[in-house]
Amino acid sequence: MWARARQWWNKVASYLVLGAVAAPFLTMYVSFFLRAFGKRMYLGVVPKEFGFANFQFLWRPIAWGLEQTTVWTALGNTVFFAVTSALAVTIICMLAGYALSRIEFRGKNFFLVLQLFLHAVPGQILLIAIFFLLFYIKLLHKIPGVALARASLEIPLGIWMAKGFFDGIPWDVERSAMIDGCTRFQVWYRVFLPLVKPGIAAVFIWGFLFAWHDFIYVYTLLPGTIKLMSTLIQSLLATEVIDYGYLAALSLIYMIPPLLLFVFLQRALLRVPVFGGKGV
Amino acid sequence: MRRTITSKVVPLASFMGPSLSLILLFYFVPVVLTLLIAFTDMGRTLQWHFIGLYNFARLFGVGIRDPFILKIITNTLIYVAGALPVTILGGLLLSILSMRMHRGAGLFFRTVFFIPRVIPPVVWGFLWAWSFEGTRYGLFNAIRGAWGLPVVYWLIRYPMLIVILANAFLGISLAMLVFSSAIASIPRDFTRAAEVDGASEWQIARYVIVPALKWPILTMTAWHLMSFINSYVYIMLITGGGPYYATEVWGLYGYHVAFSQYRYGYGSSVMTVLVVVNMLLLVALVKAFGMRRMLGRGKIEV
Amino acid sequence: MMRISLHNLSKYFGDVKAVDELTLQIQEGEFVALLGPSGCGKTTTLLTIAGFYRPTKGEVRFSDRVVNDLPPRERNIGMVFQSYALYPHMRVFDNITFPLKIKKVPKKHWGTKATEVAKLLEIADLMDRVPGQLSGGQQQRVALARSLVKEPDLLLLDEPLSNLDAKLRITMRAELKRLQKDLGITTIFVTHDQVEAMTMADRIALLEGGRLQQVGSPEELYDLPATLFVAGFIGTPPMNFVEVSLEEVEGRLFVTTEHFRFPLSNGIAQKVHRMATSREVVLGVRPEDITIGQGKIEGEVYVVEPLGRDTLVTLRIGALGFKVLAPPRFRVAIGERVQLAFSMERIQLFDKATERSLLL
Repeated sequence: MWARARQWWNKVASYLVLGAVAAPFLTMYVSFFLRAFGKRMYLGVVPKEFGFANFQFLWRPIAWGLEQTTVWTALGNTVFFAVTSALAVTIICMLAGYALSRIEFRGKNFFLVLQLFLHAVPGQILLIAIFFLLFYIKLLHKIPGVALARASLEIPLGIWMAKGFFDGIPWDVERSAMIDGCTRFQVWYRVFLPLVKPGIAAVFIWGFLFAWHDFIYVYTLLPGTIKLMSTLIQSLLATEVIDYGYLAALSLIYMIPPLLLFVFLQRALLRVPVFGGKGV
Repeated sequence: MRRTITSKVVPLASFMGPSLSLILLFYFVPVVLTLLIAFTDMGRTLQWHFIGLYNFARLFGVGIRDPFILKIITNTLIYVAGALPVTILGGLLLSILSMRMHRGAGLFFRTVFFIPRVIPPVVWGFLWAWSFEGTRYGLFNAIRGAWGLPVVYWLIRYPMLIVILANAFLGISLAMLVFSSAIASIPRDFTRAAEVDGASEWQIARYVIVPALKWPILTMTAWHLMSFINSYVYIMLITGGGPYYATEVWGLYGYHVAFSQYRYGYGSSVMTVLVVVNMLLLVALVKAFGMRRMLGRGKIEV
Repeated sequence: MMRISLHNLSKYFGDVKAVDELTLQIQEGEFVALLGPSGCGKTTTLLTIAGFYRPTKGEVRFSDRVVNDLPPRERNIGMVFQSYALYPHMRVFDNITFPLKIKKVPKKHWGTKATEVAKLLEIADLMDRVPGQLSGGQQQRVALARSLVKEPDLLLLDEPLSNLDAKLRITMRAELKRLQKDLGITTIFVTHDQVEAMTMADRIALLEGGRLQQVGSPEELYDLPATLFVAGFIGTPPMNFVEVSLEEVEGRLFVTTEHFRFPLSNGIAQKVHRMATSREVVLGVRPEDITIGQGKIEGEVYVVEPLGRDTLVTLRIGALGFKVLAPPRFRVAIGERVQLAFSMERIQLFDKATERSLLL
């Protein structure tokens, strides 16, 4: 009887504890949505009316201080930045991942461990030097240059991801391609890349997501006149009068493209080919 | 023999070249540059002018003294000492509790706590800044207002606590995920056997689950230790280091010195300390965990 | 067409000698099997011939050219892998024409060449499928077509039949042999199955522990095995072995054990005289070279296993066990005592220490 009660209580206690910890966060997330779509709040959190008034930036310019831009410019910049960075990450990691999976060379293990270390060292502490470096090679204040610098942060882990995908392809497929006349590069390009499409998608999404979310690189290395979504939201947050509904709506728009990309790429690329034959 | 060299080196160079050059350009060159700039008084004009150990003397209070440095060190220690245990213990608590629940409920809670990781930093910062805004427009003050309670100046009264929680819950999202998948891989028979032996929930957690999580706990602790020592972006977004240096940690101070005060030389010397701390930590970690293990585990590393 | 010669070929992986001092000549148009148990170095040899491994020592020659450093793509060889290694993302047609595409053969020729090999291998109606939709046998035909389409000078087959079911294996065995003879391409194949090697190959190279044991026609390996290992590896049920001593009495050589004793025929005795260095030898007799019901050696029936085509009888002579192939429907009771005789011209004798044949 008592054991039963205790067991029951243990179960309920788990729910209570998690519920209590989750409550403030749930409040934050739900209010965020309500705030974006709501008008004239009741009790501070419950909207009396729903509407798209907060999304007016979709057709009007966005102003802060003495400056203004449009959400489309910011979105365009962000897409350009994130795609450039993701492409760099994908191409570089797919190249290196193949070599690390298939070619024996001296220093290979060292290089792999080094990647783990580099992944552990946050790039943000090297920002001053990167600022100077980009200035020196004339890439400062330019989206492609900053995108490349940002890409370098995702390369260490991306290399490991790519290597993992290449490791999954049987050696016989590579040998077969070489017998058929392929150079190493042709093996990579004609046979392996089509076989690791899901891997390409994963690495690309990985690179895209981090670049899309990036704030500190963009904020530090691009001039205030080139706004990406992250720096735009931050500038609005830093003004004297903050319209939280407007900001919530803007944040929502900011978060949609990665989701779309994920759904789209999942459909397009995640059809995994099956290796024929037994005993591969 | 010539043929051997060209047939292997040329493809190798084309495969490894891009990654090697980017890593060289954006990791090694910056580390060296940071160390070099730290010995200059480089300012807005980006001129090289070496001034020896002056910056470091200032940093460590030899002769000249940076008036903020003690405050910064205290802040950093409090911040790391606060955020790290909250992350690991919170991650453990959430994963253990959610894994013992009904599947759907557990998944729901894990999703709620994983959200910080999938939303952009700026939005996470916005959520916290808005929730803890000191006027009646802030989320929690608005809720208090609805119940007739006075506003609380959250960010002025509890700045460090809020900054710690905002960062710790980011850490928790990752730790929880890693711990949960580790718990999921514990054979169900282990916990059943313990239950049959009459162990209480607490004893099962203490003697079955936590020992099985030894490696994940170690890696997560090491990972977040490094991450918190270096972190400053979220603090910058939520409090900007304020009010009056109350949440200014080491990395943020370096950033401010360089990019708000345009004292790149001094900022670099502040960052150099972090670079050195990172290297020492990495060496210590390799000593503690062993290179082979890190390489072996690499594939499932986060 | 090409002659292949391996000259003192060695391939080491660290301390492991996968292939050790292998010398082998393969003639134009010959069909040669590399036979041996797993780990004997046969696949390593094949991959070295293909150019995936660089010899540690020795040479691989194509006709008279040393090709040690030639990458696989420049050797003009075709290869079929054990797993077939078809490209899963390409249709059968694209798989077959892939070598042409890489060789930059003009596109207009692809169709005719592909149709030609497809007709040869009876896969013309599969051209639009992807490998995942094919059976094992079909995949193998596609893999063969892909290796033949570029008209290779040398064809390499790695365990070509091991992924097929038993029935298909027997069909493909014959078909592969016929195909090789029709095309006349020098072909090397690797197998661990002595029946495959015996049935298909013109010559067999038997390897063990990285070393070549014997090379020769299937009949040579069967009738005159060079070593104890070859004698035991080839033939099912395997050859019977007995440790015996040689005795010379009045100019005649006798084989003796504690259970039986018989004189050697003159032909064999002459060879043994020349070769033997010790009295301690191993006698080998194939199961079909023992006749039950006549002779001076006496044994006891231990078990009888009817196989349909013949009957396998296990006999005991003292502590020694012998397997004997008797005619079908051979009736004998367990425990019965019988007389038996060895076909004297077909027995084998090996040096006990060196395990080499005394009859060569």
